[in-house]
Amino acid sequence: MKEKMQALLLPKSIAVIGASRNKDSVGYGILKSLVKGCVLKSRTCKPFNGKVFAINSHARKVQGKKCFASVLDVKGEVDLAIISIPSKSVIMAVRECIAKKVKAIVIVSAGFAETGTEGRLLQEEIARECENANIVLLGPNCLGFLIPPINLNASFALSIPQAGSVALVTQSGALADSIIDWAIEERYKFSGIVSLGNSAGLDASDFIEWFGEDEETKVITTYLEGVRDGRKFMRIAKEVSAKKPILLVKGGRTEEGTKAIGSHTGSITGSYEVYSTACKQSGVVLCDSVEEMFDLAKTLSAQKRSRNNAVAIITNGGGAGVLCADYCKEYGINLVQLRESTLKKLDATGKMHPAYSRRNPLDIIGDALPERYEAAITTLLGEDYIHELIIVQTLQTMTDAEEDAKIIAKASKKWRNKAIVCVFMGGRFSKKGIEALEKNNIPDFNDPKKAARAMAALVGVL
Amino acid sequence: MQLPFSETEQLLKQYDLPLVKTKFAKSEREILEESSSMAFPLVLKALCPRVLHKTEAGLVKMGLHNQLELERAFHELNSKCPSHEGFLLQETASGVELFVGAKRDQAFGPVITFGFGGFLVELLEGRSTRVCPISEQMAIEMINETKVSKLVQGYRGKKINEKVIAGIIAGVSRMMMENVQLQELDLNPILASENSTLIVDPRILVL
Repeated sequence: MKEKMQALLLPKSIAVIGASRNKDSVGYGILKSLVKGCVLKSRTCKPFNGKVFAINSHARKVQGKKCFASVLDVKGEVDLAIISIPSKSVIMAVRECIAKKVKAIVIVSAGFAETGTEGRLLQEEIARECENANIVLLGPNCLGFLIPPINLNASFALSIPQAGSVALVTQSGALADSIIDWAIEERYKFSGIVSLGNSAGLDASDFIEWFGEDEETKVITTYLEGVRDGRKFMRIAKEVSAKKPILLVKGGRTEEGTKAIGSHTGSITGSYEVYSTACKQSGVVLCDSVEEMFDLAKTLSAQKRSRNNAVAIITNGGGAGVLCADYCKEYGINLVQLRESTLKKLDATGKMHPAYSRRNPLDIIGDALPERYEAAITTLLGEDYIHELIIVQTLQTMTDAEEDAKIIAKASKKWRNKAIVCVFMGGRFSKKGIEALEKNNIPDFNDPKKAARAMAALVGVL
Repeated sequence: MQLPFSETEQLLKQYDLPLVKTKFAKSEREILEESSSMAFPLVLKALCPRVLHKTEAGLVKMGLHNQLELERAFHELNSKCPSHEGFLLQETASGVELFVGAKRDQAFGPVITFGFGGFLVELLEGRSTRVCPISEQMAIEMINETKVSKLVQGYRGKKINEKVIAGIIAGVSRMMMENVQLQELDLNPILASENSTLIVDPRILVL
């Protein structure tokens, strides 16, 4: 299985069946994605460096590539076949792939189970033939997949994001498209993006298992509407979540079932409740929204997951500190009590304002210069009983956001096993600081609530 | 369809699930005979075809203190449901009303819900759900997730036995895992006090 998954996601040779000359067709887009890296140019686009074969019986050349009439005409091995032709012809192409002994198939074409009984039967037949031939199948009715670390864009997504450590497994292809566009704009980085489509063969659990073992991947994000084999999902999720975080957004959560009506169990255990309990039981973090999921993924991929839950807040603004403390409490974060010995150390730095709060949240007062931030940060991180830090910065006339950010980055490098989350509240004049944090992989949010939630995920109380 | 009483009783016994002392009787004579070995006050329930909620249909007579009251109750129920399939004669249990329910989810298999019973079962905050298998340790976590846990320490003179309740949840989990024909199960209410935890009205639906 692992070998087949490898042939699918890390192939050495790919055949595009339906490599059309028509620029508006999906097949044209996929071939271009492979040959150029993407359809719409962006600086992250690079051609795939494996072999790419164009299959099209009506053309001799497409995008400078020689066309083969059938996959059977290709000399040498084909790891992966991507099929993008009308649904009625797909089964013939699949049979040729079986004869060619390809190892993996992606069916991008729509027109299967989502259209009704006839389509469902066709889909089942294809899945059965692939299974009998020991070929892994992704799709049908999907966008394809992208593996940015090897410049592989095996999809008709318009572009490819930068390589990173977050994997996305999604039941919605269109959502993947939008996320990719957003990711490019926000410089969000991915280790892989898989669009599941109808999951006739491989399902979400198979990819969660794969990314669970993938060395590039640190966090797995998932958008699911439903799973067919819930017990398989729980078994795999439990194994994987022990190693790396799995975040999940569930679509279709307001089903009538969630409303508690009557005393009948059948009607009161609504399906969203079952999903959320299954997630909880298998260590999956259920997120409210796609945005929250990626906020958390960014944090979890950049900072150390810690199970100590002993958090201190440093702030130069009273209000922001109070808000942050409120949210922390709400999410189950344990705010440590600062010890007398710690306060003595802070006093001894000679950098504290006479009116500083002497408690957690540690309010170091609005006129805090970088050196005061540094004194507070290094003192608190130096304490054994403090394991995580939330650093809040409001923008005052003397605030030096960029210098503060550099100090935080330095501290983060020194105390690698302690997690830091920042709240640089502001916009234009905080920008340089925010960028410096981002460059150093320090999660930063413009709102204390988001930061508290990210910290809750890090300490494992979400 | 609903599993007949005799099979329900047998299943409960097999999984050590404590049913309040219950006797099945077909006639007035059998009711009176059975009552002689039971502790009054008793409860009489008519098994009426196609009636799932006996209380709402007026097919339950409670607080019967002697054989005379029992006879009267029999005649009343008999006229309300002449096509009855027999009667259940039960001892009276008391305590806080709790609820254990199970269903077979299409994707995840057996799922168990626990919480306050009676009409309080409808309150979402008062319950906890888990996918089976559920160990006794997990069942205790479920109890702790609900306000029912307040009663473990005792609350306003009421107290419950957490271990026994956890045992019931774990037992139901085993029952659902080992009997694939069971579709749904309703133990509502379970009457729980410090020294007694009894299932009063078990309902099991099978394919």
